[in-house]
Amino acid sequence: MISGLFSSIDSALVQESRFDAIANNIANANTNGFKKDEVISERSSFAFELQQKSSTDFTAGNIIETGNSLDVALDSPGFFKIETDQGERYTQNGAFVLDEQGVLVTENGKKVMGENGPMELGGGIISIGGDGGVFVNGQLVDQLAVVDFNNPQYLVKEGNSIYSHTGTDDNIIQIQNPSVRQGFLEKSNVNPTEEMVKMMEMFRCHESTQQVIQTLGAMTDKMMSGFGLE
Amino acid sequence: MIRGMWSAASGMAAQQTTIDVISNNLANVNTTSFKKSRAEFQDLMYQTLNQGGAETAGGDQIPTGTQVGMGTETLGVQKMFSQGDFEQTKNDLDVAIEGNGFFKVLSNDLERYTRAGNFKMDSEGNIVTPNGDKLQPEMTVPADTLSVTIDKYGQVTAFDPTGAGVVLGEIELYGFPNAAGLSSLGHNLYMNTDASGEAIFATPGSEGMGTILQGFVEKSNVDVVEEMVNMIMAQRAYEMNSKSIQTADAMLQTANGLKR
Repeated sequence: MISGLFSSIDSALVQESRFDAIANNIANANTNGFKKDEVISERSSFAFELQQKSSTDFTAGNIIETGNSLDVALDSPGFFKIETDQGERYTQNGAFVLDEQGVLVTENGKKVMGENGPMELGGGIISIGGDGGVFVNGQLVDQLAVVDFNNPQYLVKEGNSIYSHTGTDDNIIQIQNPSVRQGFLEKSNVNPTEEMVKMMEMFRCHESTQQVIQTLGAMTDKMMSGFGLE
Repeated sequence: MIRGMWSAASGMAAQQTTIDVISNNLANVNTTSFKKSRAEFQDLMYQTLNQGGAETAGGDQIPTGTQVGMGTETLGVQKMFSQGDFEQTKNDLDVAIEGNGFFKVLSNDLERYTRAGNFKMDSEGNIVTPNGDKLQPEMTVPADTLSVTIDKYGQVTAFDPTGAGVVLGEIELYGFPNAAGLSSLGHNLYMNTDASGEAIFATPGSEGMGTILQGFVEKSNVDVVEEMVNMIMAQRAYEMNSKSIQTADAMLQTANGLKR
């Protein structure tokens, strides 16, 4: 009976984590390049333990037209490579800007990598070709570095639309001919209807665990009074 | 307490910023050379509840771990310097920049930049903005001038009643390594910042710079339909986030109900 109580509490905690993920998805419904997360639970081999894990759904978000020359969307699977103080990182948020030196950076100032390192593009008319070629006033400057992963579950979200890679190097695939669209942005892949349904379902699960816990409490009560201990 | 409640609150704050930006864009739909802004968001940090690869009590290995996000935050409000529409005014001192570049004006003795080319003449014949800020380099139109022509490359010529022309000077354009980093001051003026970089002088029509179009003004680049669609999206997202908060509230009530 007591073990039933513990697994009910476990279940309620899982529902709360599920809710956290859903609320985060909804909060990021308008974040460029955001990929939704889901917390799932599974019974581990150890008797009553419920194991939680989160996974990120990397399906592509909607691509919308912005007409801004520094907005880039990947039409093929992949990630833009960026440079941070902690090393190489990856992002799917293609809303780039220029910094004060005219270097192409993400909106939080991380340098976007080309095949030959960071790209200085200031002062001219910038165009980005369908294969990721970056041109300033019609002159080819560099090629956007785009990578993909054999198993994207090795990517860890760091926040700020940035992923770090925890797998080995052979998990990284260099994409030679990405399909890049200038003047477009990939929006978040959160589907509001789906999230609302998940939220309703989660809420009812959470409510039922409350009922289970109360029933177990009532049973314990009964047992105690049955033995004349009350 | 439930983390998701704060994520939802951050989501509501983000949508509020979106509405603020959209409202300002719509309010300036008829402002000469107004450039629309857009709010950008990013996800906040993630809390790792259990690390991937760690071992459980049962001896299994957790394959992916559990990461729960903490919501969203406003990354910035970015100006979009796409070209606005041109409106023909046939006014001699209305000029539009076709392409990149800014005019330099002197406002309270400080260098400022603008794309609004609806210039006027003050009592001394100086070419000024509607706020009275002098266009740089300063040009004075002689009193007996009948008409002024401004060519594609910015050369300003004044013609007197006899038809004789005198060149008053050349309008200069300025570019920035990162125009989106300019600070908006209101009154159609921009100030250069560390983010925008120093202004780069260029003659109109030179590489990467726009050309001058006399008799036209550049209208705002706000697209009303686009703003309306964004407004609907922001409003619905706001509503959904409020539902998350209601759900969190009901969950806490459920937890409260455990003890009768």
